[in-house]
Amino acid sequence: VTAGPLSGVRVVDMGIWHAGPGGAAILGDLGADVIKVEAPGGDPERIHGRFGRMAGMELPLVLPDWSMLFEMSNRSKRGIVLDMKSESSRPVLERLVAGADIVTTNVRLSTQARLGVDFESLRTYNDRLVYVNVSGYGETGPYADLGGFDPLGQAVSGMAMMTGDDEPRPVEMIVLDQLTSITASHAALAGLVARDRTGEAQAVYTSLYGAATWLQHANLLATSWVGRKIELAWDRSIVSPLRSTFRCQGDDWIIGTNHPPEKYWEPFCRAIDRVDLLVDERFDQHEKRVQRSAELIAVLDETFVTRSRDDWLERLHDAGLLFAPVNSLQDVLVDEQAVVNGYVRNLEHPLLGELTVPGYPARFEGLAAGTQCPAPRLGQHTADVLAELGFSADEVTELREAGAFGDDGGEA
Amino acid sequence: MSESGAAADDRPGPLSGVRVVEVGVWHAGPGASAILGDLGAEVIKVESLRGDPERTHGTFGRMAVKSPTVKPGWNMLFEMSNRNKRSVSLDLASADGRQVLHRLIESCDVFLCNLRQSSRQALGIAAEDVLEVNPMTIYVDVNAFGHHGPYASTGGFDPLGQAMSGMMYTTGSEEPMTLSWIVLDQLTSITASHAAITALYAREREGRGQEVSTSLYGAGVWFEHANLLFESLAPEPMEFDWDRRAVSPLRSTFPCKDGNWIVSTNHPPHRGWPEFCAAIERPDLVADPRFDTDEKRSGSLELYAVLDEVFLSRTRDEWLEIFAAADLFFVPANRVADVLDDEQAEANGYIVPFEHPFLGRIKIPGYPVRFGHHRAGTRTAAPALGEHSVAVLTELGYSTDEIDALVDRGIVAAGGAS
Repeated sequence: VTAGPLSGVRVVDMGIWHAGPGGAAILGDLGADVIKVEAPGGDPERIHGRFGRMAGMELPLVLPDWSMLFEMSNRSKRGIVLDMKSESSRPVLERLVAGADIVTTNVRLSTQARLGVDFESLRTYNDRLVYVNVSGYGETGPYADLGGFDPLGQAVSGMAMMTGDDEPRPVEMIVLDQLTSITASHAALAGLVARDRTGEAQAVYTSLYGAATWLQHANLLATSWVGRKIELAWDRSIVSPLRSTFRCQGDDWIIGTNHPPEKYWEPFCRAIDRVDLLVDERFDQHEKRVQRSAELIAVLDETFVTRSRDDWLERLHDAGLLFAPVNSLQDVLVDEQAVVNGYVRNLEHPLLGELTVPGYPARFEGLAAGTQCPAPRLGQHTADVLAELGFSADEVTELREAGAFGDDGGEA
Repeated sequence: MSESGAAADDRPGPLSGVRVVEVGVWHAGPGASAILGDLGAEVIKVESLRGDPERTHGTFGRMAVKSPTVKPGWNMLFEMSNRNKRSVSLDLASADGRQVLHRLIESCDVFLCNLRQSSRQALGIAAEDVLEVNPMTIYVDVNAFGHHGPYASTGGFDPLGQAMSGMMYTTGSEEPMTLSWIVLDQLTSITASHAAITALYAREREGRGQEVSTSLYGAGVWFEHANLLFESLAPEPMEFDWDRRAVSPLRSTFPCKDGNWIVSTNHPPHRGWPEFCAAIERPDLVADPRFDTDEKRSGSLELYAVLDEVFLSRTRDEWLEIFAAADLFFVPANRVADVLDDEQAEANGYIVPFEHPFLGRIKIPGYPVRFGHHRAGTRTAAPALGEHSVAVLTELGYSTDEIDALVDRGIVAAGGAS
């Protein structure tokens, strides 16, 4: 196994659910050594069965403390159990944090203070720590103490209106939790660079709300600039045919993009064998095509259903036009283009067998990135990590008896 | 607690001292160096004599983004992609223009390019060329569908990346639809800057630069991680579209009396149906045999007919107050325009005021993270074409005479304001 770009970086993840733990998982994908610290009962996501509309996904083969969501949020980590409520766990926490570069958390600030795992407490163990805090809506302001989940962050940020704003429709599934994880790991990396340059501990704060505003930069800037509501809904009948969608034979779709419309109209008509449209007086000028776009799209619809998606793509690509297939998620999982670039990859999972999983979306020359190992069982690595931290077998026994790992000793 | 606008804050950014040179066009690519600029990096945008085509692009989604009334040559898209940068305009086809670019490459920590491979080769700025000139550089390659594979040399824009990555089937419609607007271009910019910072950190430890490569397609797949993992595991195709009635009233949306909507989420098991019924003053529903289990409530059109009527009896803000008092998770479904005026967004710097040189004081999105010691977010507006050619060439050691000669010969354009 080649090293990842963050090999040698140590991360302690004290979070629950996805936004927070997902950021630490990304750092793990990049080669950081990530240790997930769970309370004796485990992260509630371990036993969360319902995900969007799927009541199930409690796949018959899986274990009682495993769920797909937990797998997604906690790949590329080792797991230990620590009862932070017990004073006896404090020496372990101290050594863990002292040896860490980054701590990530999405527990509410009031809980952090109560457990003594807030930034001010943690930095006393490590004056070069990068502390990453993830909340629902930001750590200040009227919503600071409100709990947040993905759909709520989408609602508050306008993202739920991204498909048109007559009725909110959050984008499924947990894409904002994932984006917040991306944002938190982005901030952790910038904090790490700053830490190395200044030698000082860094605290960075982000949230679901912040991540969603980042994604919608264009929508927000446009609204701010024009000073009124902008149209967000996709409508294939009012855009240029060169950037519209078309249904092909077999119910597959293709889509075009922003071609300079006057320059590419003729090559487009030739590619689809509709040179008659070049002299059709309804459509023979750019302005007419704009004005009669719905009529034109309806005419073209009849042509596109006559051939397969791949046929059309070949013809359009040969004519130098930028069109692409509209893939379903199932298409993506087996798409050669996704596979050869490492956007999806195969993983041998101990419980699930051979599995296709999403990768890290950037390729580093000579460095590995992407899922390093499956999510840990509850407390799977407690003994290993404590040994690495320098606790002797006797000390571990004493800690266990004192309740540092909870009543059941921290084993699943 | 809140910052009083980016302009008043003179703290360094977490990436202060990092120098980025960009040869890029449109958003995915340039947007990444704008983000590095938000974090304090110094960014030099190298443009052809004609300039980035985004400067003159006329439409954005369904609206015009050019504003002849504001300033000729300015548009909103270009502003979004090129905040925080200085512009140097060069004839990159000429040997002398290349010489200037060569010196810029020698001076930079990050070199970012999203031109097609054939154009890079023609200009001598493929990864191997740049890394030969400066082996400590991080070469950030942004492309449409990935460095390898059948689509490697195909160009692409946001909607094509959305199409390839499955994003267009997440909108709740049988007909594929793009998420608006250019969110995948922006996500690709986020992804490319993520990879750039990772490689910068690796360079500190390993003492070498490297090429990192990402794409619209890669960023789309990253965003869809949960969907893809589920699809991969599930025995049959899954439903990913939003259906407000499909799960539970405690994870749904409701229109209120004033036409606004509220949204709820997955509630912890101890806060559920009885608390919800009490909050909406319909305790009779708790034991109603039509609705007394999770299964009966899921997808019940009858239940939603009852609840929709209840919710239409009060305004959104009245409901929010009621649910806050009951400690249930309900929030407003804001429209984009609402976010710009939202106290919570302003308090956390997600929306910041900005003094734009010719738009005046406007609100703009910030960097979505607050750093304890550092400033992040827009520092300067997008530059005019060639606005900083003379300043940057001077920094590179060109004399005034040399610069004048380059300008006279049309190798360098030193245009723009100030």
